[in-house]
Amino acid sequence: MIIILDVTHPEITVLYDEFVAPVERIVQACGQPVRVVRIDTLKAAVHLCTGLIICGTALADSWYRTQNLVPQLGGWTGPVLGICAGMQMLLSETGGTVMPVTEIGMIPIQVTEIGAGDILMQGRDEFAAYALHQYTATRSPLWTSLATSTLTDQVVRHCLYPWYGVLFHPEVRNEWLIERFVAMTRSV
Amino acid sequence: MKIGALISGGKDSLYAAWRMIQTGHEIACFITIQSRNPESYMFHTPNIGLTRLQAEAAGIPLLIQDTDGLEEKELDDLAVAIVRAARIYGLEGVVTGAIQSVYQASRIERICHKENLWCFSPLWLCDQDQYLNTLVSDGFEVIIAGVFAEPLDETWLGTRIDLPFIKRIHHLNTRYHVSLAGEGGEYESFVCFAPFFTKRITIRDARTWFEHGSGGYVITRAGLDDA
Repeated sequence: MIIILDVTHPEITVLYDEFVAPVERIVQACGQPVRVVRIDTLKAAVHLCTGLIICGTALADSWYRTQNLVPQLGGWTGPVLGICAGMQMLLSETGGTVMPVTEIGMIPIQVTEIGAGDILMQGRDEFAAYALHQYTATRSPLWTSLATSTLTDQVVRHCLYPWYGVLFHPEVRNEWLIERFVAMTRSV
Repeated sequence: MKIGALISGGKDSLYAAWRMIQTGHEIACFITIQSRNPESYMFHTPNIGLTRLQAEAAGIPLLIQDTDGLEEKELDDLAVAIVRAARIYGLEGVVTGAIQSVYQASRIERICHKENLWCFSPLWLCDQDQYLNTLVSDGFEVIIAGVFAEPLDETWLGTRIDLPFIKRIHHLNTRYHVSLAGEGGEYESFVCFAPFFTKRITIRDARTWFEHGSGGYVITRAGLDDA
């Protein structure tokens, strides 16, 4: 089972339609059972899953920045895909710092040499992706860059765990990335 | 939250507004961009002049902004409209009916970001089959106001989006890849009634045109009746 973590503002429930449901549908189309949770119930559920996807949220939503994700993982080190806000949470809670970088719309992505050899990015060189963020996060030496835009890291991987961060929104025109992640959770 | 709904008269923008109401937000105003350019990338839709009636039917104030509809310049006019609406109605956010158009969504997102407004697109990447069925079951009354792709022809003009319509469009989707919701510009729609309207738009007169594979259902006379 894949768990999808909804980090949108809890009082603005309509954000689920835009940022969570599209990812949920992609995972379901992969034939994978899926359950959506909020951060306060993550700890109890995460040990039951084969992979965790943390969805992004609206440009104006900064609620996720008041939350702590890593303690809620309770030491779980299975496959994680943090999308946009999810990537910022992963990086900033493992030694990185959130910093302002705004990218809105389709942007060019360049896969790094290391990225080209990674299971998530292999076979990709350059592609366009949909960005919708006003922050990024620096990465500690625990993380390596798999792909970049002209302004910042766009795909990162943890050096010890199968944890990935993607700053752009792969649910828009790059569904393959979520599909590959789901396939990976079956083999890890 | 006080929200301004960008409406074109079609189903997507009005359903998006309805979704905001359903989830506890207030639609403080409708915003319509009226383009003089029939080739407008973002704003031209048949019967856009009748958003006035939709606003009246919903009891929601309408702000109309005219534009020449020149590519990118029309975005300046959209920004002017959003800023005006935000000032007049104290908006905290804007809702759009974008489903898949990155062109449309990212441009509105940029304006909202600049103006410190939330931007919502509740239909974004939605399951279009589920959306059409919900539109019908929620009580929307929607007609086809324009067709712009084969094999859609003049027989579709003025027909209502109902369960038989969904079955027919499914067939075209399977066979010709026509988008179920018309997101690729295959068809345009006009909303005569929505669940948050207190009145219903009655079409009293309309003319259809169809040439070179495109057609329109132009409402020439319409009024409001009790819902």
